[in-house]
Amino acid sequence: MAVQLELSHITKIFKKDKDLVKAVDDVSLTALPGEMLTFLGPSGCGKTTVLRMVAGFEIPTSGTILIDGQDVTNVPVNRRDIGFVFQNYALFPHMSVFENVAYGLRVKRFSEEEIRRKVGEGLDLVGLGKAEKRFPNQLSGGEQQRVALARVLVLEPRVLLMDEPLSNLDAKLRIHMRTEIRRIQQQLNVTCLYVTHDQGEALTMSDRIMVMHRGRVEQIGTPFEIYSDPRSLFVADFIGQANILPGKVLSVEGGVLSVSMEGRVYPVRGVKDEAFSPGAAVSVVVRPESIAPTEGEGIAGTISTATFLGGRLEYEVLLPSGQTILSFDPYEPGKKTWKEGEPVRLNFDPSSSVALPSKQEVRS
Amino acid sequence: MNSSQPTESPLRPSLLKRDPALIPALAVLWISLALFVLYPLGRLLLVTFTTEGQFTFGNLASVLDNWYDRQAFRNSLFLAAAVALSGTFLGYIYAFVVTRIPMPSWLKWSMSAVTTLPLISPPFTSSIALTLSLGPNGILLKLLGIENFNFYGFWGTWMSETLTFFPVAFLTLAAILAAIDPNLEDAGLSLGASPRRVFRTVTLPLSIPGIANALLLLFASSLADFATPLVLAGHSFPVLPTQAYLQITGLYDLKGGASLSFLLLLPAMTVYLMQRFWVGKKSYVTVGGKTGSRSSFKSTGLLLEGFALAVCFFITAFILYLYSIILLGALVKVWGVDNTLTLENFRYVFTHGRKAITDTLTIAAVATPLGGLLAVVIGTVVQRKKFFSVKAMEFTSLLNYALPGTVVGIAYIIAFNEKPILLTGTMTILVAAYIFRYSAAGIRSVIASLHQIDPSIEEASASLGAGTARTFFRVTVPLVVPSVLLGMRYLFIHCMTAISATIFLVSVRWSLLTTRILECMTELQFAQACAFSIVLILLVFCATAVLTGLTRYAARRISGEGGRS
Repeated sequence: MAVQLELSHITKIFKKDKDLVKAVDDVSLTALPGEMLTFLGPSGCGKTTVLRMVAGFEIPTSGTILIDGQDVTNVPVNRRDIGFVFQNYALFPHMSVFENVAYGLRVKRFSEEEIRRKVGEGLDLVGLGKAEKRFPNQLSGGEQQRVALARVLVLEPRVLLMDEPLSNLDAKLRIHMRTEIRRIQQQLNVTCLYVTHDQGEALTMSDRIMVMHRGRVEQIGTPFEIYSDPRSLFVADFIGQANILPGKVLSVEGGVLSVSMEGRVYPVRGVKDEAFSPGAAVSVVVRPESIAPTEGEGIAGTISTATFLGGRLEYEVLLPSGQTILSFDPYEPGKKTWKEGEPVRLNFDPSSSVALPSKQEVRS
Repeated sequence: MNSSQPTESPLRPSLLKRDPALIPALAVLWISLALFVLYPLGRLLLVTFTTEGQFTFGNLASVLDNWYDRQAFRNSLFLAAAVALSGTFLGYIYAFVVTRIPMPSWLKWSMSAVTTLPLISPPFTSSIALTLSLGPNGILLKLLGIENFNFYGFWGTWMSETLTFFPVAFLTLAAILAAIDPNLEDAGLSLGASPRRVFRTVTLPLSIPGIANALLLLFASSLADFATPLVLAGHSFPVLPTQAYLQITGLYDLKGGASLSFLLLLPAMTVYLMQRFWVGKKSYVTVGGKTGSRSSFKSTGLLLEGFALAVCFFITAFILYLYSIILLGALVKVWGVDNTLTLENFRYVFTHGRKAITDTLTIAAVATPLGGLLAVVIGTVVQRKKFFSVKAMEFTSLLNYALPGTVVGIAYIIAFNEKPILLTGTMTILVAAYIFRYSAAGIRSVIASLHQIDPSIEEASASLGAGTARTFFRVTVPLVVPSVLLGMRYLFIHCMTAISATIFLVSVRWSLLTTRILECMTELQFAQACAFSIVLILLVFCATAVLTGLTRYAARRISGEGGRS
């Protein structure tokens, strides 16, 4: 049975060269049973530290961790019933694949017969049924990571924790393993926390994403919410690419603001849970794929670079304000293309954009 | 995120609660270190600085007032400096030849092999051979027609110690020279510098930390050396270790001996601290980093290479010559007088020396596994556990090794000659002396190899449900077995060949091969001394071969090529 995982007000302070560093700052979250929850953020944001505290490798300075309603904050790693998959696989180099996978089962004193059956099943699940007798150094990176996964899965852990498990693999294998891991996680219906700095990975695999920045939670939500409703400029900028245009609220009607920007007025959706009043400064997040050069009406600018990528054209457009706007325009034969130096108008769909209160720093 | 492994927060709950096996392990380690390292040293200082319960500098002053003892202090420092310089010079040349000059690999191998001979030989070997060559009636003297040559004193001791200790410098420097990225030298050449200029401006400066380390190591070795001066220095050139020994065994003057060993302790500790806190942090060479494609080393110019090669061949030939002298000496009736070949001397060794052989082997066989265990446990605790006393533990565990053997020996007889801990005359005291002195190599190599093993391997074990003990025995120990075996080999060799500390601790019940050799030397039974040496070298050689084989096997198993079928 999948279990629920709760972190409440977790803080971790490290001592580094006699300075105290707050690596994790008041993080609370609830992972629902069977959910795949991804921790996403730049390196150093504290995501791995949170994961290691859930595992029990680190002890929180304050806060509590509940697995299935039971407080495990001070329970040692080996009694937590978690499965941890390491970035560098951490296979035991002196043991065969079979012995690696059997390791946890032997700790739990299963009978030899059961061990053989479970190891066989585990290796079949990750597609390595015939590699039992080989040693870790005879396997490719992808195979090693599958063994590491099988080693954890045979124990049927209550919670599966994965620390950037794909970051040492090449790009193609990484995409293949994403779907593989997601398939296995859904098939076994196990609650899973997954750390990554790769937004593609986070968007494709997760039920929900927790975006972290400087030890704090920026936003928790489904990939769709995170992308279309970023709660902060950091999230908007970190997930996908974003143009951030400064604007001013003229009036508010329901959730929709009329915003004046670059000399024009657009109806833009305000971000949830924020109150806007007329006169307030806002930042409008416009995704490159929802803004395109046009011959009709729009924001005036000049093409500074035009790059053909096959499926689309990428334009960088310089506005009179000095800001550069990135635009992705899908390519179709016969469609008008612009050259560097040409004056254009930029047209965008305000309904796919979102306005955030201004005065927020972006990725610092 | 873990790139710079921040240490534990000071505000967190107790680590001990989560790692219950740590407390008993720490307790056992600290008790044994306190008993066999700190306690004897404390007693030594107590004897040095008290008279009838009162603190005093009197004992030290009376030693310093003595002209002869002052001379011994000066001689010791002078000799150590001379040996450090000449040994490091020779070691550098050897290291340079082996790492930089293209040679057939068998030639390289045999040159390295010859340099290991002094490392595994009993401490008297080169002294005996040099005495037979350059001492009274020495064959080299006769051959060259030199008369009235006094070999005893500074020159003989210096020569013998240089030959005995330069391989230490060679090993240190060869590792450094081999690790210097050849691309750096290529860069120098491509910027227009001549090969010799590149050597002077790139290679040499990069090897300076290694040179400093070698100098300190050799200085300490020579300072502590007891056997060579005992045989070769004579009365005209007193040094501290032998003076302290004679003070205790000849005059039964414990206070004088303790004070002399305190004088010896001062420079030794200085060197140890310099090595730990200064040289240790100065290495430019990073091993195992990512470099571009490995280029081959370029020639440094014929003149330099020719000189280096000539020196190497001469020294190699001389070492081989010395060892053949020992073998020959063991096979003739009376050296230089009656040169008929005979096996009589070996018969003597296996009859009269039988007890010494079995005693030595027994002690080595008991000490080696215990020392191996100690090395793994201390190494693991020091490298892996975050606990406030581990730094101090590392320092303490390497302390006896840093102290000259004479100091340790004298400290041990002072500490363990009376109740509450009466150990003199037992095997325990000999085994303890060896373990706590010579496990240092093992401790260091375990720490080094754990440094290479990512902690996630052990975390993986814990996350799979294994407790501390299981993780230690199933994961950590198998992974460090090769380095433990390396340490055990070192320990075994020293159990067989050490003398400086144990000469104070031998008794009627337990005699050692090295002390038997010394007895033969003092009674001028050179043939028997040679035969004992040969037997000892062969024993050490066989044991090392076995341990080396085991190390290779274990290393292969870990890399996973062999393994169970």
